[in-house]
Amino acid sequence: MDRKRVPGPELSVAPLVEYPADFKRWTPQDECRHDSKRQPEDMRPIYLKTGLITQANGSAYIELEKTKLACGVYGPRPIKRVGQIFSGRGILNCEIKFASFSCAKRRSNIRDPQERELSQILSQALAPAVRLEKIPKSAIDVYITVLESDGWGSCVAAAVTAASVALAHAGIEMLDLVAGCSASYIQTAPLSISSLSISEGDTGSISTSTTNTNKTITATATATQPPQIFMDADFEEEKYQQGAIVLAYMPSLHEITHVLQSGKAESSTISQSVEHCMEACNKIYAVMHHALLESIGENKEAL
Amino acid sequence: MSRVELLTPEGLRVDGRRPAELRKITSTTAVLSQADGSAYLEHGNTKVLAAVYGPREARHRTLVVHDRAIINVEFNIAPFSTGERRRRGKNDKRLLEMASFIKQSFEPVVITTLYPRSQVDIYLQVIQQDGGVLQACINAATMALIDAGVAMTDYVCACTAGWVEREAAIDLNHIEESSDTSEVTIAMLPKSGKVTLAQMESRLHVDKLEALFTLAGEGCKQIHQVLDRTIRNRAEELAQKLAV
Amino acid sequence: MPSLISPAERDYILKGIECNIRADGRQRSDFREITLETSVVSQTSGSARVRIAGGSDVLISVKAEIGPVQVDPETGDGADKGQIICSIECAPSASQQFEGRGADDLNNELTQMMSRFLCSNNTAISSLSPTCSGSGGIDLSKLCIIPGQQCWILFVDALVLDYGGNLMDAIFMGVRAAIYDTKIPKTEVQDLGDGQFEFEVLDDEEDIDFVHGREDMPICITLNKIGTRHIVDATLLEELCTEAKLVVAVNRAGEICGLQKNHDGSIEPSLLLEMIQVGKTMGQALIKNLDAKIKEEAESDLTKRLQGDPARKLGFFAQ
Repeated sequence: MDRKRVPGPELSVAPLVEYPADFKRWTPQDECRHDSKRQPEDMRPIYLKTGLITQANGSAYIELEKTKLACGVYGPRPIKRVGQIFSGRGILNCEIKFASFSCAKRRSNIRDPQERELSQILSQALAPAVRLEKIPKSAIDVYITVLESDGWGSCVAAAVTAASVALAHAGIEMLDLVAGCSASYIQTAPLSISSLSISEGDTGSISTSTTNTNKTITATATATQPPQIFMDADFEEEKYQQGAIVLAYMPSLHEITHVLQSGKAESSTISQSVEHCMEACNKIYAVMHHALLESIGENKEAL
Repeated sequence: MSRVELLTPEGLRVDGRRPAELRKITSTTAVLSQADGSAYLEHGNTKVLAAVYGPREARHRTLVVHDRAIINVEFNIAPFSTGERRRRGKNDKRLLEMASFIKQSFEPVVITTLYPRSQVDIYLQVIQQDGGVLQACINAATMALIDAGVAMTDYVCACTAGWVEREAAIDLNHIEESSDTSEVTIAMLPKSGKVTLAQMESRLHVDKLEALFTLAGEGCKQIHQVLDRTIRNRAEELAQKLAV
Repeated sequence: MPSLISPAERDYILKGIECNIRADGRQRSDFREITLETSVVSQTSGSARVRIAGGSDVLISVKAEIGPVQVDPETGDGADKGQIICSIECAPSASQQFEGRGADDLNNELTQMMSRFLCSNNTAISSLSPTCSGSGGIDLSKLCIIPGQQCWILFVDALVLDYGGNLMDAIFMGVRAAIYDTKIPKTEVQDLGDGQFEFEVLDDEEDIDFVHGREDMPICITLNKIGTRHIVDATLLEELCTEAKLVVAVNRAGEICGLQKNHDGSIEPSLLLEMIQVGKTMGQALIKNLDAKIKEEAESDLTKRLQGDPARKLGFFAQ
């Protein structure tokens, strides 16, 4: 028996949170968004600054109200183990890690499969913009740490934005900056009960000892309107979403570098949300420019 | 718990076979498009797929031998192959052990000196398990190696044998394996009668050993005939296609 | 098979696609011949095998097991729902690059994509919207046995045996067929009073439940952008020339259940919308054909069983 350590209990559960009686949870049926100052097409205000990590070749820090993440870029530096196949292009290697305290439920310290997939998505979103053919036999490493996550879609979008700014800050040659944006489809119309039917017969799962409850009432509620598109949804709003879309876009080249959509949606809703996202990306582009120009200004003063 | 009767008074086993009778063997070769050689084998309900890549350039420079080829075996069991779903990691000890058994049984047979500094890969995938997994894998690997055109001195045929209650029997299925019988797996070269693998994990009285060995040897010869027939049929098919 | 392609071959494929002729004679929107068979593995609740001629070969199995319910601690959600757990594994026999740990990245990517399209695992779908049962269309609440305690967990395992391009389409078709084929035994729950429940799984082979919502499961179409055009059902060499790959998951009703872009290229917005439309129309047509074939097979199996002949499955011997 291990006498040197006092281990904690083997099984631990999160505490049950008791909300006060007058606490009102936000629902989509309320006429406004979770943050009442915002309209459905408004993004959260962005704070973007470069130069956070002095050791790295380039770095950026982004805040979208509660979502905070930091990005560091190292490179171009030689690949440690040259692969057996020589290609004339460099390698873009992204690693994203959610800090264990960043989400409501504690995340482990080792990268889980979801983070590994996100890393792949991130490198696929950034690769079209970086001129990798200029740096053969080299690698660019992009490391992102999410300090606080308020909405999964906004995290991914912020990661793309921050990584582009960090790459530009590192002086890596790029075709264009990539801006990332997310949107959710939320059903705001009050659900109406469109059909009511009473059917006989057993439900197949529960048979109780009383004899008169063999009828089931099925009510099908259908939404009468298509879902509304909420730009940059936060965590509370994402709970009610029917679907979400994350878009990475290069505004000057007018090309989409990545699209990721989950949940059900009609194709008309998707085209609409793609257009909204592109407009939002144009606005984010301006913010990215401003942050980079500021950093050049600071450098000039330092010199 | 009522014990399953493994051997009826008439001498029939659980699935109606006689003790010295093999299960139905069906096999095909050349089932995969990417592999150099492949084979699919069924011993009753045990289904195994084997793929061979090679000889090709060795993956890890450190493992290269200057005058012969190295044989690399990877053994994989599908999670749905058993009654209850069980996911095994890549470094599961049991899988690595089975892979090393198979490598051991093929090393003396494949003429590795013909392919210096290269590597022959044998990948085995178990799709369904009903006893006799190792024997099925070795038989499938033999067929796949022949299909790939890797030079070998002889077929390697494997057969399991064990004591079912009071009779020696071959080709045990899952129910018989999981009861208290001791089971031996033999891999043999049919032409010369030499044994490249003899494996047993339980206790057996030494007097009974010889009977099992001879019975397993007979089983291997029978399996060899079935496999040989499949290979010859396939060769005839190919010859016909070439002739046209 | 190569992971390298020569510039001459790349040029050949590119120019061919501009003229609507691909290397094997197909047109840009033509599929290769698909062989599909269900109930191939015996110890599972449902299974299917999909083979694309000269290309990919996948084996899908669905196993229904009973397990504890997973409740989200914050919202209390999930207490009355079953679960679907997917996993995709590429056997090392499928391709030269899959030796050892080579297939890990691809396995992870495919698994996450499938989980996302089938059950939206990133964010919790609230129980406030009863019509929404995850984009996979499968009604998870029907998989619950005792609310708050036990439920059916469907383990969907896909095994890629041969890799010849267009993996995602094959896997999704197989998963749809396997889930269509899945038979879940009925359970009988007894109320012992005091909040205690006991249930028993009925062992009758004829008395089974099919998965609710299985007709609404999506399939996916992969569109590869090469040059300025896009093609469907790419072979290995065509995949090496791809600039960007778009996976569109569409269900019977024409709703888009998921979109994901792959590879290191970018797509123009108008081309993106066009590709989504093409994917949607092709997907719906494919679902119709697929359903017709699966129903035909199920019916012929049933008639054979009623007559007493065992249904012979071709399994691997189907060419």
